Order: sequence, then structure tokens, then C-alpha cells
Amino acid sequence: MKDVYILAIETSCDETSVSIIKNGEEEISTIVLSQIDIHKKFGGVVPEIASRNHVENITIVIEECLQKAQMKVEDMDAVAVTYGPGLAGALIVGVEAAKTLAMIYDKPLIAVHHIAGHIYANRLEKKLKFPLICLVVSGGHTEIIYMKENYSFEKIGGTLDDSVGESYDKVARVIGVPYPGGPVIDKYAHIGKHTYNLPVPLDDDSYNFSFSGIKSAVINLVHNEKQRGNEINVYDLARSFEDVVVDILTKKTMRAVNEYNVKQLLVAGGVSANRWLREKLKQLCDKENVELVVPEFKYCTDNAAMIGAAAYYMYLDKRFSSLDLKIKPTDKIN
Amino acid sequence: MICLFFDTSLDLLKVTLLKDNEVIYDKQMITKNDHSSYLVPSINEAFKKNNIDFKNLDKIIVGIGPGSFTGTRISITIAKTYASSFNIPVIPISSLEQMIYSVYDYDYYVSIIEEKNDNMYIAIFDKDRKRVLDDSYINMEKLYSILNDLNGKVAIISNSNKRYDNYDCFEKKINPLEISNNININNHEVNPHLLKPNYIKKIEAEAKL
Repeated sequence: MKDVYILAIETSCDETSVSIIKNGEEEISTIVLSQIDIHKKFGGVVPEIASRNHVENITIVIEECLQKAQMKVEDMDAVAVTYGPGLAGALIVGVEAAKTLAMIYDKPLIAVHHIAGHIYANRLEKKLKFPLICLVVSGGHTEIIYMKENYSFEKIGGTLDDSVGESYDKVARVIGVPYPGGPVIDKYAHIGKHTYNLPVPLDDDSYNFSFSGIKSAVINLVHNEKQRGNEINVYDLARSFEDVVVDILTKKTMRAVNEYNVKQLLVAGGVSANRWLREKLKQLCDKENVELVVPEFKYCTDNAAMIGAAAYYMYLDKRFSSLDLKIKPTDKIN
Repeated sequence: MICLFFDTSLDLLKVTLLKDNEVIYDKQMITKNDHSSYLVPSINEAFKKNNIDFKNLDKIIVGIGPGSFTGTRISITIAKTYASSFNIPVIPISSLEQMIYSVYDYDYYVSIIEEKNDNMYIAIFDKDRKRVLDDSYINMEKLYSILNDLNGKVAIISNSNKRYDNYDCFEKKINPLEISNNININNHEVNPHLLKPNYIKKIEAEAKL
């Protein structure tokens, strides 16, 4: 079969990224321009600033990606783009650029769901074996997805309030770690000991999660200790928090793995870079004899490579979009 | 000579294709915050209907605001992606300057885009259409002090049917042929990678820093 090259664009939040992916599994080139330093001083992503940066950078990133691959848009078989979910003003820049390329080069246009992209980041690592379960954990999402086959997504559970990434960032703020604090909490947790008593979040028979309670518990704990004049050991608090969160994530995920009798467990999204989550899932999967697939660190955060990987299966099914493609900032995966 | 003009910085979507000083495609529509669904398809239609290859375009003229941030970004993203792909010259033009080319025989052309609470975007051009006031964001009081300083016949062109006392008022009409013929008076070609909207207004979060 002829090789399939897809040019993919991702601008759903604060990364302008373009990638060329061969046959849905091989990265030819990827450029990720992160705006994280720009948003740092605001303590979080400012949508209008993100949009302004995307529009200024988009064509430079496209050109750099093509140059790095030493390819032209003419060599591509399709143009893929994230259409949602994400920030409206940010998404629209990628979508308009992709539509323009599809129009002027007469290429099929493929609209990829951002979470499908995160899941398929794992395809750049290993061949997927179905059925599988995927734990999606990021700043915007906490979901358990069951996949019977390629491109079939059944959400069997998800967070009822905060995403796990959000709760990490909020806890970071409470203990004085600047945005984005999640990865720092993970580092602190490796140094500290589990000494603080925190409530276990939503430990029931469902596959749902709730992280607003534990976040409030951390805020109250810090507040009370301060009132008493006690110093907080941030390393121990980080460890206590991470233990409780990772415990419930892995417990429910492994229950899904067993109940659905799957061949693989995938982890996707920014929080899949969390070391303790990876370690613990590895231990549990080894015990249950299930293959664990986690993306390379560079594919955990937002990038266009994963969009190109996901788009390949839509290409094979000829699931193309017309040039009136619209963004869907709050689209669900199923 | 084939020239493509488009603008989505206000509620009106406008796409015009010109060939040797003749309009060969013209679309204008109010899309209610949905320029994204219509702009690329309209451009596509302009080329397909006239059987013109996208590579054979000679020039892009694109509106860069002021106006809706998202609307402007839609046009700009398309213009810079297209222009940088095929090395096509691109010339940005203010949405305020676009408005003055359907009115004639005045000493001054004052274009106004009305905003909330009697605030407005404004620009002024002389009888030769040369710019005398950069795109600015002002209030009503400031407007009258500026108007008082203009000596001669003044035309006010705005994006509404609002009247300004003692002045000849016109509702904006976009005339891409005239825009194209006069484009070099105030504007010049830019590197497509550097093309960006003229927002004028600062972002709230930045202003608060």
C-alpha cells in the first residue's frame, strides 16, 4: 500500500504545533511552539493572548515543520486539524489555516477531536490492541474510555467536577508553587512522605471521579496549619495529595481493565507524564498481565503529532470534512 | 492581474475577486458570528466559478481590523497561510480605510466604527485619501473636538445609520475595486508571516498587570 503522509495542525490551547506523520505511526517532523512563558505571569492561560500568539506564529510553524521534513504540502495526502474541544479563539486559527491549505492544494481535510489525538499519541509508541481502556488525564479532562476498535470511543466514566490536572494546579497555587504547578507537585511528591490525612475522593462502584473535595481539604489544611502557626511541609503535603489521587485513579482504571477484559491499557493527556501514576500503573498491569502503553513525555502535552496519528484512521475511512468546517470548543468524544 | 479582497473584521463578510480591474466575483453577507463557516467556502467558490487556479493569484488585499478580534483573525489566518504558501504579495488594509471609497468630493473623510457606550474607532483621510489620523479608539467628546479642527467639507462614514449633527453622514459601503485602485496611497505589501490584526485595544489581563 502507498505511504500516507498527513500534515497536522493543533492550536487548541497555548501550543502552536504542526507535524507530519507517516502512516499514522511514524513522526517525520514536529514543531511545538509553547506559549507557557507568556501565560506564566498571569497565573494561567489567557485565551485572548493565546489566540493572538497563534495567529502571529501559525505560518512560521507550518513552514518550519515542512522545512525540517524537507517536504512540501504537495507531498501530503491530507491536512488534519484539531476542531475541538479547546479555546474558541485558539482553535479557529488552526482550523482556518488547515482549511486554507486544503483548499489551495486541493487536499482532503480531516477534523480531529483533541482527546482522540491524545489517545492516539500512544500509537506513535506501539501498535494498539483492541479492546482497550484508555485513562485520559489532563488539565481539562479526566475520563476512562473504552475502545472496541480503532476510532470507537465509549466513555465509561469521567470527572464530575475538576479535572485531575486542575486539582494539581490548584493545590500548587495553595502551597505557593507558580503556574503551571502540576509537574512541580509531582517532583515534590517524590521527595516527601505521606504524612497528612486527606479524604479519598469518590470511592464508589462507578468509573467517575471527583477532585473538588480533596482540593478543598488541602486548602483548609494549609489554612488551619497557618492559623496555628505551624509550617507546612510542602513535600509531604504533595506526597500525601498525590498518593490519594493516584490511588483512586489507578483503582478505578484497573477495575475497568478487568471488567472489560482488555488487551491494553493506554494513558493519555498531560498528566500521563506524572511519574507516580506511570509507576503504579506499570506495577498493577504487570500483576494483571495487561500491556501498559504510555506516550513518550514529548507527546504527553499538546502536540500535532498525535493529531496526525489519529487522523490516519479517519483518512483510511475517508471521513473528510468540507471547507465549512466549524470549531466545536466543547465537543464530547462520544 | 488577479486580485482577491476579503474582510471579516465586522459583522459583514465580504469576498471579491478582481480581474484586470473588473469584478468577477462578489459576495457579501451578514453571518452573525459565523464567518468561519463561510469565508473559505466563498473564496473557493470565487476561484472555482471563474476557473482560476489558486496559484495564479497576483495579489491579496485583506482587512486587518479594527473590529471583532476573532473575525479579524479568521481573515488574517487565511490570508497569511495562502500568501506564504504561494509567495503571493499581501497588502493589509484597515477596516476604517475600506469605508471611505464609496464617497467622493469631500475635503476630509472621517470613518467611524461605533462601539459600546459612545466609544468608537476612528480614522481620518484628506481629499487625496491620504491618511491624516491613524486608527484610534476615542469617545464622543473627543470626536467633536477632532471634527471642530477640520477645515473644509467633511464626510462622516460609519458602520451604522447614526447621524452626527451638522455633518454629511454616510453608511459604509465596501467598494473593493476602488480600494484596489487606491491601495498604494496608504498601504504597502508586508511579509505574510508578519501579518497580524490591528487590535488597537489592549487585552484586559495585560492592562491589569
